[in-house]
Amino acid sequence: MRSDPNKMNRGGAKILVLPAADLSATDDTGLVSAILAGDPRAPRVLWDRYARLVYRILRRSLGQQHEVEDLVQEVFLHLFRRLPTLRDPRTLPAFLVTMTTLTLRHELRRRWVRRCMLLGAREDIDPDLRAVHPNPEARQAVSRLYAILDKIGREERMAFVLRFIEGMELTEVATALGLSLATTKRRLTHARARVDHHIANDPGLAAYLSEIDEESP
Amino acid sequence: MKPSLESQDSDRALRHLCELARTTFTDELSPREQAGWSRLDAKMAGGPRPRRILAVGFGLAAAAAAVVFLAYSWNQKSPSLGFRIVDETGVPHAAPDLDSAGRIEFSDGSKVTVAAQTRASVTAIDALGARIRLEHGRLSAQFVQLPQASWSIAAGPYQVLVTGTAFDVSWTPDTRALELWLRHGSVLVKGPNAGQGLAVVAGQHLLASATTGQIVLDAMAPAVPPALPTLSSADLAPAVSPASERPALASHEPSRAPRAAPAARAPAPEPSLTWPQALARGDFQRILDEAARRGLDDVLSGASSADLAAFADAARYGRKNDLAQRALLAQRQRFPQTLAGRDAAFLLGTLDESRAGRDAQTSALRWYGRYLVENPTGSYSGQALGRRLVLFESMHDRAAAREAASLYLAKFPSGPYAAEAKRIVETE
Repeated sequence: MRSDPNKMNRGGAKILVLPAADLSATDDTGLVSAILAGDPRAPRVLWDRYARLVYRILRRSLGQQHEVEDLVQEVFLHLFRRLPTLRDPRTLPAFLVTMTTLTLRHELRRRWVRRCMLLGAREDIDPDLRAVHPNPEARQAVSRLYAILDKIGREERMAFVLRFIEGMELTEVATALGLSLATTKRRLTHARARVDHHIANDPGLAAYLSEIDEESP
Repeated sequence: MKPSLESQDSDRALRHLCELARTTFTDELSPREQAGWSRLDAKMAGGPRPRRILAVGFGLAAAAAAVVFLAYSWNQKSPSLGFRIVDETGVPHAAPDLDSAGRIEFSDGSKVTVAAQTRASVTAIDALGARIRLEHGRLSAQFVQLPQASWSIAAGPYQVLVTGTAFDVSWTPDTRALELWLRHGSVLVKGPNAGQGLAVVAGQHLLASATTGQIVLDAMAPAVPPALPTLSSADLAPAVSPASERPALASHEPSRAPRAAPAARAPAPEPSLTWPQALARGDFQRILDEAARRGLDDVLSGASSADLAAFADAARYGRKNDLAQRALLAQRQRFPQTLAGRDAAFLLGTLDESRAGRDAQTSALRWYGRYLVENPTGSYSGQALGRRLVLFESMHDRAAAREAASLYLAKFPSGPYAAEAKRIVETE
């Protein structure tokens, strides 16, 4: 008779042994199952697999390369708490992006309140941008783009970033924001129009873009 | 002429700016960010923060031991248990900074002895019990068996759920190992690989590793070396656990404390048991029966302060509040200058709070006020101040509630009632 590998008698002791599986090689379905079963190794594997995605979305949404670590941690804490509600483990990435947008929405609201209290002062763009863009004009252009995003609504901003900067499909944006496809399209159209308007009326950006246009073949 | 984008392709401009944003904000992680998992893991081990709960710190032991106690929801009907922290000599401390072991004494008679080099916290407390987090080191716990009692100890990803029992538990963060020795009763251990919970009964020993996922449940070794120092004659029954599995104890431990004991204690009552000892074992009926045999008047007029305190506690736990009240009043009358005599004022307040009606609330307020006059820095002072602001609020005495809230915030700005106090002050 074959004994249960998880329950062995050894010298009178009942020993429960964790199955030896390489979780890093398992797919999202297996990974979610392992987490829900209480496998202590599984959360780390999920972190290793998806931390970069969360960092990237938060950075691109907020316009800063650093100081998003606390938010990333918050996203994963939400994720692990709400993982039992995930019906289809195959949708784990979408679920994670949804957790990210929830955290992002809260953070944007917090920053909006802070800006109001500081009478419109905008937090400066991350100084470490310099390392990424030695070109001061390019750096300034990115800074102005995010200044424009600060002027549009939070929901529009998130939709804009996910669609135009992160490059998500419309359906993915809709899922991440918890919206219908039609609402997502309307929101993106509105966001795009407002961003275009602000770009067109930003003399500094217009000058920069004109130069780029002239330099391009 | 000022350049304008009106004539330019807005699509092209937008694409360029978005491309700039993409190349600027990447998913490259700094070394610190790559190490973010460790921080997240530590946060998850800390568990979700209960809402409407605040913390107060407390230090224990040579390296760092702390007890943080948090508050409870305001809509509970029964008043919360009280507790106090004493050092190894049994002296209470409102905010102790101790060099060695200490003990948390709950008002229902439950006790948790904290070993040296241990860090633990009481994260929530209510009428039915408390939630304790063991961050590292070892505790020896004895919880009084009361109906619907609810106690739990969290260590890393594990939870030890208790109804009324005595056990030792240790948590080693470095190896993420939980170890448990059950002396009386039973507990339910939840955590990785424990499914819906693993029942551990008296005489069993559990070793669980959150790193490997292994859980070993076996019989406790027959050898019965001493547990934590018990610190006072009225303290816990000694624990039983293999000496090799216990952390080294400080050489200056009180030699009077440790005592060896059999793994399975005989349930028969011991004739020589003092009332405080009987109380520590949860044998309330024994105390009440003996008091009845001696005669209530004799007890109230002739018992020692320690026996009166034990009798009052036994009566309270036995839901005989009238007896408890008489014992506490006798304590105050006969031993007004003692700690027990002063603490009796607070306990009389909690008894009044358990009764319905405005008169009872007024009386509770009076007792809490008296306790604060006699013990402005006493171990129950924070709770007395907090209960006062809650009572004033429930009696719709806004001015008094605001005054009490301000006083509370001045003394305990991050105490368990601080959130409610701030709400009251800000509302006004």
